[in-house]
Amino acid sequence: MISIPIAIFFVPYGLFLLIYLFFLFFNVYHIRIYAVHGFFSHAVATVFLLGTVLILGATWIILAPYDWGTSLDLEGLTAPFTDTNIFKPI
Amino acid sequence: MIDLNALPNRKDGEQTIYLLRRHWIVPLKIFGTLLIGFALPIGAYFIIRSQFPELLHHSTMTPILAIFAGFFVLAVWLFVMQEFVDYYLDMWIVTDERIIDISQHGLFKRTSAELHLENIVDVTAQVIGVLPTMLNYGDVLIQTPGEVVRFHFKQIPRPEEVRQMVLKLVDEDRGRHERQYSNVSQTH
Repeated sequence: MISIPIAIFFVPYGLFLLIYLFFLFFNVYHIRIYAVHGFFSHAVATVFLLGTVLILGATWIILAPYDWGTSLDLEGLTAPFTDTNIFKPI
Repeated sequence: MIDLNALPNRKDGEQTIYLLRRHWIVPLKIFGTLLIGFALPIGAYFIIRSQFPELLHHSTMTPILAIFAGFFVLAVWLFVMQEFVDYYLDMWIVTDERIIDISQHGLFKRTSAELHLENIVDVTAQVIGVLPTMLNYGDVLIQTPGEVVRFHFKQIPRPEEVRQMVLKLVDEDRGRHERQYSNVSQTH
C-alpha cells in the first residue's frame, strides 16, 4: 500500500509562499520608492502587509488543529475507478 | 517617493497641473476580483457543507481542502496586489512646462519619459464605448512632430477637459518661450 503523510502538501504551499513573499517585498518596495508621496501611498503599503498577515494568520488558525501526521492512502484514492470500466460499450 | 512639489529637474516656478491615473473603474474591477476571489472558497465551503458534509470531517481530505483554500486566498491577494501596483504606479504628471509619463509593467519593468510642452503639435481625446461615454473616461494621445504618438494617456477621467487644458498649457508655454527669445534678441 502506498501512502504519504498529508504534511507533504506544505511543500508546494511553502514554495508558493516564498514566491508570494518575493512579490510582496517588491510591490511594497515599488510603492515606497516610486509612488507619489502622501498618506494614501503609505496606506496602500500597510494594507498589503496587513492583508498578508491576516491571511497567513487565518490560514494558520484553520490548519493548526488538524493532524498532519495522518497518511493519505494513494491506492484508496483511485479505488473508485479501478472496479469501473468507464469505456463500457453502449 | 515622488514629491509633486519637487519633481526631478524642476524649473523655477513650475506648477503641477494634473496628476493623472486611469479612471476609478480600473481599481473597482480589481476590487471586484478581490471580492469574487474571496467569495469562491466561502461559497465552496457552504456547497460542500450542504452536499458533501462527510468531506468536512474526513481525516485527510479536510486538511487538504483547507490548505488548498489558504493557497487560493493567498493567490487572489497576490494577483490583486500586482494589479493594483500596476494601476497605482502608472501615472501622467502634467505641469505648465512638461508632461511626465511613468509606467510600471509587472515587477521589473518601469519606464519614465518626459516631453516638453513646446514639442507638442497635436492632442487628441478619444472616448470609445458605452461605459466610457457614460462615465466620461477615455484616452488622450499626445503627438510630437514625428509620425508616432509620443504619449498615450490611457483610460483617464475627463479626457476632453485634459486635452483642452494641455492645449492651453502648450499655447501659454509657447508664448512664454517667444517672449524669452525676443527679450534675449533685444538685449543682443
